[in-house]
Amino acid sequence: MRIEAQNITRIFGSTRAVDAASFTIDRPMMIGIIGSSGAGKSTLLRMLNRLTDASDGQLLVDGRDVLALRGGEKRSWQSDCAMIFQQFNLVGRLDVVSNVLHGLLNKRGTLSTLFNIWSRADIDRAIAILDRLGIAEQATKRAEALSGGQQQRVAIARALMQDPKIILADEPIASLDPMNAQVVMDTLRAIHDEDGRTVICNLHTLDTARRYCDRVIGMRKGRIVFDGTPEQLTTGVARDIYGAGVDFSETATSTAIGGDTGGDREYAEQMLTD
Amino acid sequence: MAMAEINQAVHAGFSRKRAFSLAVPAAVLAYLIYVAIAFDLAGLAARARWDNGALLLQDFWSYKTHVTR
Amino acid sequence: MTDIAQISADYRGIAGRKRLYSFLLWGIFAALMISGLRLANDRNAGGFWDGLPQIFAFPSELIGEAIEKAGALPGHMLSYLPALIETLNIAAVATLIGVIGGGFMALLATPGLAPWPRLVPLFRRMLDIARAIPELVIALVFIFVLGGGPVPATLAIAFHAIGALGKLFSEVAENASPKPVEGLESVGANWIQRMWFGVLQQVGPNWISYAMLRFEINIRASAILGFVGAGGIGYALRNAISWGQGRYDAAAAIFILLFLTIVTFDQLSSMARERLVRGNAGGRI
Repeated sequence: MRIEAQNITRIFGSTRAVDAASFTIDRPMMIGIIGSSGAGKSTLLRMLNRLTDASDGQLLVDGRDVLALRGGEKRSWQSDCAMIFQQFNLVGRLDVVSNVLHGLLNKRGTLSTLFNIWSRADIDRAIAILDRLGIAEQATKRAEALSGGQQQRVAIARALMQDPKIILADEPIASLDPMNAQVVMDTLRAIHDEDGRTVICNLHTLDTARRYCDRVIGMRKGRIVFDGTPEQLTTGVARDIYGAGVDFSETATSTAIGGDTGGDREYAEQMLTD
Repeated sequence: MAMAEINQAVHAGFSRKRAFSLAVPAAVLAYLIYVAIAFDLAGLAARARWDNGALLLQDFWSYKTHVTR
Repeated sequence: MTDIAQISADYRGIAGRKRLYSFLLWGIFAALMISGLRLANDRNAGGFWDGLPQIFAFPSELIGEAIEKAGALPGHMLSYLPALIETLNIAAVATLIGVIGGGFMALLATPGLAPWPRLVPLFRRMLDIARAIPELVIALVFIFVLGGGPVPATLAIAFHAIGALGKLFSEVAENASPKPVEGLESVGANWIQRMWFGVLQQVGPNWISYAMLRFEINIRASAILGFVGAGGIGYALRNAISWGQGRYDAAAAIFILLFLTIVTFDQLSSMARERLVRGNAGGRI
């Protein structure tokens, strides 16, 4: 599968959140998008999934411009292009298996899904995916009763249920503690290695991108300013991406080291208890 | 918990959910049918006086006395 | 020192003037009220003060007659049971239509959830209109067209209920978390699926609670609409309570029946609502 982004642009009011982003993905790989907050990473990913409409540009997937799709065709593309969110975006009041089965909503009839009519095979597959991610024990619990790391794995299970060509992950570990962050990143990497799916991952930490990704795209103020392998990502380049001065150190963007994560976790817990 | 047990629990849960989500609309439908019979909905169509309705609507644009006693 | 004295004197002066003005305003208001009521009293057939002692004449006659024929009360209550059931059916069907219609309208009129965002103001105005027209007016129009009976009352109450519930439902839905909806949108779920799984799961308890409150209101509305000829126990009450038929015992029986029903349903629904609300506290999104 060949994915070709051409000059994708999104304008909010007078600011160009994403400014003429172009890149090509010609084989399955794991891509990390890095940049400081507000660089347009999230908007770019949301445009690829069509949660946000692009102002301009094309995304050619095997020659077809998916940014121009409407209605049912657009939803069909979304079902091929799974998305994982920072705040998991599960239906908290429903049980875990139902949440995983939601990955099939586009591929099954509306009426039967509304009445909870799922085939035995679908339910078995959902359980198998949960087992693969190591959370089958939680299958009958409500999603909101799970910890953040478990909820993110349920979200990944929902994505796998879609059997997608691409998995987009928008800051998948920003709300998690370092332990769970590593589990989630290992899972995403394993999905890429074992299933050969393309994974595009927004990360605000350099070390994670270096460690897990085959290719890194750096964004600053809506523009792609770096596109290359982790090896090419020198401290000087990173300094440019984050727009920092000579006092820039990689630890400042790291979640593996304490300090910075406190706020994230607090925020995540607050979101979960709300 | 073994996988077989989890599997069974999930399937049991889904049959329960399915039964519930089919029973509620069925109960509502049954109640509406009972009320339709109790309210004599079939006879109502015969009793309705559409000319009265037309009269009422006509008052929106022309108001003169239609009925004199 | 002198400054402070000066300021406090000024302040007292202003406060005194304010008091004087409000005193004058009240005086004018009282004078207008008295003269207006006098005028009304003069032009009426009877006089207010002459009629005042008779205010209890009707209730005392009703109660007196009812006590006189107290033995017939249980029999009357039993014979009016079908009419009571009809009243309850009117209220229940109207609530059901109100919940379904109001739910749809609420989702169409909630920014962020509506499938056609541009039409949100239109649906809001439609809800406003449905809420603004009193049940009694709609019922009279429907009775004129459809004749007496429970159907016009049901339609009238349902129309009003759609407006009232639609607004409340929409307010609840506005406060629902958009995250599950976004998650469902990202998998390619259509609008109905997004609303069903993403929104209704969240707002369900609150919507049911409002619906039960509306049911209590609708029972009263249904009883009242009987007075204008729309079937049910209200219609029976109107026939029994008219002057000089010697059927005050039946009227008393209907009153007791209605009172018991309303108290019972209010208690039941407040218990159920309390349970729903307490269930909410257990960590819901």
